[in-house]
Amino acid sequence: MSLKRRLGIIDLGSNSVRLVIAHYTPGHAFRIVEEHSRRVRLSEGMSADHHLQPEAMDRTLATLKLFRDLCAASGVTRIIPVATAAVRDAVNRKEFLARARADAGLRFRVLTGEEEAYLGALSVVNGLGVRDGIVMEVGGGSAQVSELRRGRSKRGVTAPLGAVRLTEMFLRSDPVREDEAARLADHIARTFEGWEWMRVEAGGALVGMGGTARALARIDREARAYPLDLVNGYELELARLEPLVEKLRALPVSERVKNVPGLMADRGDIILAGAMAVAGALRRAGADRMLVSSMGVREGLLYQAFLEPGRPVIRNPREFSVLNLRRLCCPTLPDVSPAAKLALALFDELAPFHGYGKVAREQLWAAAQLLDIGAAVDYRDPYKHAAYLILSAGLPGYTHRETALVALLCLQQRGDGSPPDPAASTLENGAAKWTSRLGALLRLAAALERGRGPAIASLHAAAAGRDTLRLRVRARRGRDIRWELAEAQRAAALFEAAFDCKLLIEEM
Amino acid sequence: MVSPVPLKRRLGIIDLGSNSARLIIVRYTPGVAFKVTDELSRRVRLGEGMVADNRLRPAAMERAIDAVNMFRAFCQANAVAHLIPVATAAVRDAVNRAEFLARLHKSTGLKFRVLTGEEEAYFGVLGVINSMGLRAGLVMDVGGGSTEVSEVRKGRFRRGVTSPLGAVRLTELYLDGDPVRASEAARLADHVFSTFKMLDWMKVEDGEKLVGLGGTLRALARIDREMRDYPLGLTHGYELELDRLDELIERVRKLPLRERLRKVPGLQPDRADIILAGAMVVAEALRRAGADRMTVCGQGLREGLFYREFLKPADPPVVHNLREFSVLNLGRLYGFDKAHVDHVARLALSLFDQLSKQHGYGEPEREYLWAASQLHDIGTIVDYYDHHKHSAYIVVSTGLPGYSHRETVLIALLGL
Repeated sequence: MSLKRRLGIIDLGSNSVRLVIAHYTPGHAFRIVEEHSRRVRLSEGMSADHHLQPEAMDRTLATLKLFRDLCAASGVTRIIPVATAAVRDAVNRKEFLARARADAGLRFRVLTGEEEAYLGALSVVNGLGVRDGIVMEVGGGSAQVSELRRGRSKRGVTAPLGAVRLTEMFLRSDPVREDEAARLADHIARTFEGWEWMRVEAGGALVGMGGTARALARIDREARAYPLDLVNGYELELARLEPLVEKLRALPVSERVKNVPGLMADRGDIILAGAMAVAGALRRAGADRMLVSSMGVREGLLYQAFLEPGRPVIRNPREFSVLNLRRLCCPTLPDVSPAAKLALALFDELAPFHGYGKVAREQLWAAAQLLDIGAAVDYRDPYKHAAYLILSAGLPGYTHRETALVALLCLQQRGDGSPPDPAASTLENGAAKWTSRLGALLRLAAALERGRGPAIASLHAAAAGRDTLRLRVRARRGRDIRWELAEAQRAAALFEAAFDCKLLIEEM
Repeated sequence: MVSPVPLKRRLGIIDLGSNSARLIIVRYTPGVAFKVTDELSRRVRLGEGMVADNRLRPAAMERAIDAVNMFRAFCQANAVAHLIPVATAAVRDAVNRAEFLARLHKSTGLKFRVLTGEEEAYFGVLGVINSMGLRAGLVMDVGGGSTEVSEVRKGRFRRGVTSPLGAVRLTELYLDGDPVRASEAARLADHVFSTFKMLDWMKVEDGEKLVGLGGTLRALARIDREMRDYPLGLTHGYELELDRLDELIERVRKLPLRERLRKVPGLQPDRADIILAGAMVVAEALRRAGADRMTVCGQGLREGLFYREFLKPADPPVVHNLREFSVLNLGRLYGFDKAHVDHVARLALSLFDQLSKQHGYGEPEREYLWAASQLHDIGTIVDYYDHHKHSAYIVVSTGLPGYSHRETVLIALLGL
């Protein structure tokens, strides 16, 4: 693995300070290798006079030194330290920044609210592949809403719709009374009212970032026994959020954690207001679901460092996430797998017979590109391991359903055709035919390139009679492909069953 | 997390047997770390039709040459420069072996070394000792043309013999009926048992193991695993019990060949015909040795040949402390940060020792704790989030040679 650089990013907020360490080779591949978070409550006692308190500063500086040492021990050569609201708003920020430099050797950059929104948007654009829509983060004191157009953040607004603040202002009873909740819903709706731009158009998405969005996703996953372990890209539907809001409202705070699986104790009190802010935003934006992002400012900074200066947007995030995973797992293999090239050629040749479109083609390509990665775990059951890796790491830019399909296509390459577990249950019934056809096609391509040569120069498919398909393949110059043909012959039965026709394979 | 140990060398080992031709590719840094990255297998049935006159048939030779050519192309495409090609029983016993070897050389450019029966047994045992830590007991390798039985004492190869009890060969000799008749099976069992009876040292004592390797054993393990819903996908270290094997034999015997695949889950098509004879050799060996189970070894001849290269110039080429090496090998492959994991291990073991009065655990548990400390971070290679889960997945998927399945699972669970 030759990821050349080791980067630490420290993000100092009002409540906590976080560190991520990433390894990367600029523009090529990256992976997050460590993440740490400490609750330092830097803003504690600040509200009266906007002064960072000595004790809060001491706590924070001690943690910063710890993180700095951790970076050094992990071979990090560059640290990007940024600070947000608490430091930004503090009267004595200079004093604190000077101490951070003197004691911890860290030169913090204080982000403006706008920069914060920009970096959050950058993480969404690159990490979810969303180009247009609304990005929202519900914090404790306020909610940050920004507009995304063509991969750029167009505007960002801060609204006083933080979960802590709203809870204190509106939800005083325990359990919360219906009229309190109604007044809060009304307040949220009126706050958004004037924001004409807060609309999600076709092809766009409302993206939720931050602790509130992740907490809601966690609860919803538990409630529906969601089969995948992925958070980034989780879709939280308004139709499911509404009953959750009602359920939370009717429960006394002391009962919530027990009765709402997935809810963490430290959010038991404020989760209702957060859920209502999200529901209000979805209604305002005319969206039926929120796409959850597990990323944020830190990942935005990471993408900035990873990508070319001045061009911080990955051109094709779907393609990149496949390549990234392939590069991380198989650093010695070339970017393009011969099997993937051939699978696409086969897909195109067979277009009249299957009728699938561009999206299916892309999913097939992803699976073909990732067939090799399972060997990074163990060579004996590589396709099972490939599926595990895909479902664990996720494919940013692909929906969870697509990610499951790609994993399923890999699983189908196992000789025994054993039923794939976690992935299959996210899929509706119609997907069975789809996966069996594309899976068979992929098996054929992989068989023809089993030697990883590459061996095949071109191929041609044509109907030969009513229910027979003739596939003619041309070997690369000087290449003996008898073995590849024999392997393909073994894959033919699966193909014939999936396409319900006979398959003849010949060398041109 | 630091970078994985770069594996500088690539070695291909080809083993041309009576039933199949196999290739493994191993990447390694001598004495430090290795990983098998590919295994290819082609059923060539080189020994087919040899029973009558010990001659390799033209069609069988053709199939073998094709397979070897294909392996060579595969090695080339995967930048494997160094190849060790060996041949076993079928070629060894063939009266026309010189002719075949010459044709093989001409067509593939490879000079095969024909192993003697004892060499075959020796390298198989090397594979077993280095992957199971076997100190004393018996090792048997059931092939297509022959079966090798060896004795291991004090962690060393003591002796080994080969007998013509291969699964392909015995099937051709005895099992004509379809389904196989009880009388045919009884005659085969008799023949096998009396052959083993001649080996007066073929006994396992208390605390010793009978280890089985080769394609037949792996296939039997796979079937047995399916039948009892075994929760792990590991073959290496699997324990195959004689009681269960006897039931399987009776069941398979009564099934016509074409129904075997459908009715015996886990059975692969290229073994459907010879699995019965193979299973019977194993069962009779267990009876002869007085053992109630066979421990299946996923490594063998090919790995034995590899270990000799890997451990050079050590003689005998035996990994010094297998259990420790397995853990370190896995850690190195996944780029563990040695200073960090050693620190974690020191703290964990220090706690363990200071609390020994409270927990009352002993040396084995202490070792599991050490192993889990070494491996707790390797899952980062999959994804940082949930990396403990991924570490456990990797440990359970790759296995830890030298540890039993139960121990491997315990180590994986400790990291979770």
